[in-house]
Amino acid sequence: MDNLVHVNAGSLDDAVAQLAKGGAEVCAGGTDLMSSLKGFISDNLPTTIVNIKQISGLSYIKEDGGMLKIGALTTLDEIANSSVVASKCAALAQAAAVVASPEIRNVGTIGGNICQRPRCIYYRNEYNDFNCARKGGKGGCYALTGLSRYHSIFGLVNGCMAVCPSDTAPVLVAAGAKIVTTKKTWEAADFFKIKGEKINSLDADEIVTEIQVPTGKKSCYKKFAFRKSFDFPLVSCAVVGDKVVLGGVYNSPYEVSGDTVKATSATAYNKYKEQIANTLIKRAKADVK
Amino acid sequence: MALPEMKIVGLDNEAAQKEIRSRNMQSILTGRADYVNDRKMAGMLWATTKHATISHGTVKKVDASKALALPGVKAVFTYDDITAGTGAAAMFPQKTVLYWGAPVAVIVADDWYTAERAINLVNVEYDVLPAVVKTTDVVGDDGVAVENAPLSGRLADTNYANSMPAERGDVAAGLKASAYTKTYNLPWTTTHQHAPIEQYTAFAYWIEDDVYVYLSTQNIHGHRTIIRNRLQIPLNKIHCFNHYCGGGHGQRLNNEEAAMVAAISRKLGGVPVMWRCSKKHSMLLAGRQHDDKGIFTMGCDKDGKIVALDCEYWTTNYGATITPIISATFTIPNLKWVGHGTYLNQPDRCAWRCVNDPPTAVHLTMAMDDMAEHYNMNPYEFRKKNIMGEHDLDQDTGNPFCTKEVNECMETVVEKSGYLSKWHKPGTKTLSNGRLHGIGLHAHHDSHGRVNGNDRGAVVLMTPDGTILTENGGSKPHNAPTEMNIIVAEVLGAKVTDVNCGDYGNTDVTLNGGMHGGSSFTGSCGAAFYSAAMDLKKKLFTYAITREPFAAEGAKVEDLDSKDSVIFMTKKPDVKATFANIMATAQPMAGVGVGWHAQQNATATVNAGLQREKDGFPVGHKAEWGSAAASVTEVEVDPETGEVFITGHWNSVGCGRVIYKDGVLQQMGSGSELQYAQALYYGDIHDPATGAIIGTQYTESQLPTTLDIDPTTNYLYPVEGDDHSGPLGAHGIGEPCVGSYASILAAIYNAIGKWVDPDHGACNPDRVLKALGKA
Repeated sequence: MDNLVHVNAGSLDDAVAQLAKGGAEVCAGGTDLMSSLKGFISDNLPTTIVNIKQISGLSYIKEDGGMLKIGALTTLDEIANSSVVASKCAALAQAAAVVASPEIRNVGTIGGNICQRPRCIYYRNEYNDFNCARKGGKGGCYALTGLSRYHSIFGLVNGCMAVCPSDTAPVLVAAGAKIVTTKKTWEAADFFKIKGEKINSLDADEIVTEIQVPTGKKSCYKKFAFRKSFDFPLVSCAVVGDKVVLGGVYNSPYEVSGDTVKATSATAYNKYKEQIANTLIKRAKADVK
Repeated sequence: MALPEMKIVGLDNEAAQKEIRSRNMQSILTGRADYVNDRKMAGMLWATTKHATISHGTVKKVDASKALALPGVKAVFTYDDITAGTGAAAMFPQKTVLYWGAPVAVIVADDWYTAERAINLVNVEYDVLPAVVKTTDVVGDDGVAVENAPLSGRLADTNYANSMPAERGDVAAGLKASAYTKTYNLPWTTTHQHAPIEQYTAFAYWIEDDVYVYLSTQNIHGHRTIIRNRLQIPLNKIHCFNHYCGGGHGQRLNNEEAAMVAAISRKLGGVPVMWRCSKKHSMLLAGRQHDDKGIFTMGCDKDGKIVALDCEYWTTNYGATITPIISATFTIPNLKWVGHGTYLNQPDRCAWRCVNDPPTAVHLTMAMDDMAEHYNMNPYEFRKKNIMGEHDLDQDTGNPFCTKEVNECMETVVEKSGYLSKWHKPGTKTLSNGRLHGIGLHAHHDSHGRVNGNDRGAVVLMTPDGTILTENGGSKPHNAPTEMNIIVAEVLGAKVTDVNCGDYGNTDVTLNGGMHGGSSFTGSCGAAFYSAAMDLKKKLFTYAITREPFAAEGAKVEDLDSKDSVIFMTKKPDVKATFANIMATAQPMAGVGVGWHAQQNATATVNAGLQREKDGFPVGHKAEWGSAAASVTEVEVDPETGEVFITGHWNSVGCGRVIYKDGVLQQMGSGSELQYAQALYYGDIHDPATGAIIGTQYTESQLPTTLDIDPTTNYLYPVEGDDHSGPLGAHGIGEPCVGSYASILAAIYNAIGKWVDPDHGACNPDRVLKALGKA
């Protein structure tokens, strides 16, 4: 890990000011950031860590005007075990409950879950052995010529074949959620269009403060991974009302029209994802509640 | 000589087992266990390694100027600095790069993070050579060598060598005489590495001409020899220390990190240097199981008895030797084996620790299950017709086996699992939940458990308070030294809790007890400790008859016996004294023992021979070593996702005499879980373009956790017997459940009616779907 400056932000304004100096990144649960730093996975890692955990008022779950409102610092475990979330958007509780391991859910936050870096096996390779397109490197996308088993079946975005690894992201898109930041309120579908290394469109000095999820629709979340105890989704499916959104198959959550999907750019390595996706769609639709 | 009665411990002495368990776990659970990484010394420096980012080539130039400019970086060493003249050494910086991740430089800094930060500041220029990164670059799926392939550089002028033929009978004639023959083109199996919990690490400093080294190893004396060879200094100038050793056992033996850090410290004037490998690089350097492919032709008579088996076999970066799974499990009168090593630009391979059986187990299972179908038998019936019995002799040498438990193991798991009532024709049973049901069987004789003394000795010491210290030599006790303590307790008639490990992990004051591998340690030192305890017992009784109450009785040595640390007269049990009472007036008393020397040869004969008569063969007759294992796995397969759910997993292992029950169960349990991993989850993930191993994190390499394995479905059955090569009938059991890999794959086959192609990895759902034609 590089030498880092650690700043405890006293307020959101303070945190934004720190980020605006450049080379800085927010730390909430830190579960994704710390492993990135310790692994030297990119040349673009921050040199300043802005800790926002001490900012009060960012951890809550409440229902307000037909909207489930969740503070960005709310832990995934709190969401997974919230009766409010379970009753108002079951899919979100289900998704939060299968993020990583119990230890990570205890400290990982909903804000962090939608602001993580991709899990591409090349992108994540420690000591930046593969300086790929996602990092702005010259190596292009190594999955194109290498192992695409875990990658997109719907093509590349910005020269990158990595997928969105967030469990909660497909639910938020399917639910038509809004992501409130220090700059604006995003539609979830727009929020998850990638701009840089992370899985969203946030500016470097922009901080997620709240997630707003419309309530009143039946929903379900299904996840598929090789390993069941803790893993990122190879394919996931969120059904909220009549909307179906897949995770793990494209750079962003992938909205499905109809009852099945057809991969547009599957490789010999990841063709299986189409079969899994269609199975999850069927099962998620059958299990909505 | 009959098998001695076990009076003190035995399989069912729960109280003794509990005491031992508590003692062994306390230090680890309380965090008091000390590891190399805990060493601290004033002025110490930290080192780490930079690894190659090409798969094949030569280091042309190392530019360390940027790294050296980083505050805190003290030095960067390359091949030319510390390796040249000592020959290629796996953990030393290399000049010739043969795989992605090979070490090319060592960075020394004030702290480890600074050393790590400097890794990417060291610029290495290479002369890049064509890399051979896939087996298909060397040998086609038809088993035919690829012509004009680039050379990996591992061998002089070929990538395809190391044929290891073996033959008995006349295979060609046997196949011709068979009523039915079939050739099986068997797929490449999994390769994966040991996943060390403790990173590779070593710490060294010099005082004048003496080097002091702390390292994490099972083989501390072996490391001292490596340091001598690399640094060309006398053994008595090398002082090695080791306490706890964090996992990756079987791969903590003969690596060269201690020699390397000693060389670096010497270069720096003797200052203390702690070298630590990153987790990624630890997983690159760890030994990997070779992945194997086979083409088998099997011929049987009209009743389904095997007449001939012709095996051609390939492994990656390792010689494909025939194993007892093939040669000593079933009666096969005509057997031929031709092995090929295929040498790639990938990390080195080794046997699966001390057994190279799992891939062979899978391949033989595939062939036998298919052959069973031809004869309209279930897999058990076909095996039963061919399996060797307890009293069968070795088919190559005609010698008896020290123990032969494979049939009993198979019968045990078949009965316990209800296999015969659950088995069905492959691909024919769908459960009410929509999943496909399957059950698989595997049984094998393997090469574990030889009991011999080699040239190792043992010392046991009775202290004036009547307790006993054993001198185990190597690292802080785990199961194997515990087993030695139990042997000593048994022979001496002492309470188990009165026997403790004396000094350990210090080459200056401990004997070279050999490496602390569970199976080999049992074998190599078990006999020595038995002898040492016998020696001490004789001395103790000789002294006791001079003391009261035995002196007043005029007792002779042969009148005495002992149990629970109490000496008594066998004919007058009320005449007794505790060890402590007797020793209160004595000086510390030592017992010294050596095992019996046994030379190994190509046919794996134990020259020390039988220690008890067996099947009419006299004491001392040559005998073949052996252990055995069998496994049944029951699965449910989701046909829409390819997911495999293990609903039952029965393992039995031929243990000889069980000395340390907890140790046996731990070994069996972990071996069983390990095979879950190999079969369903875990494998090296290679980049097919560059050859780099890209699954070096536990997340990516799909290492299962305890949450992936339902312990309530895991059933373990130690099968006790008498290993006639050892004093107590015991032998090591090593990685006993390696056949689980085969039974899991066989269960999937039974469920879906197709064999899954592991394709160098685990049977992950995508590969199951592929077998089902859905991906």
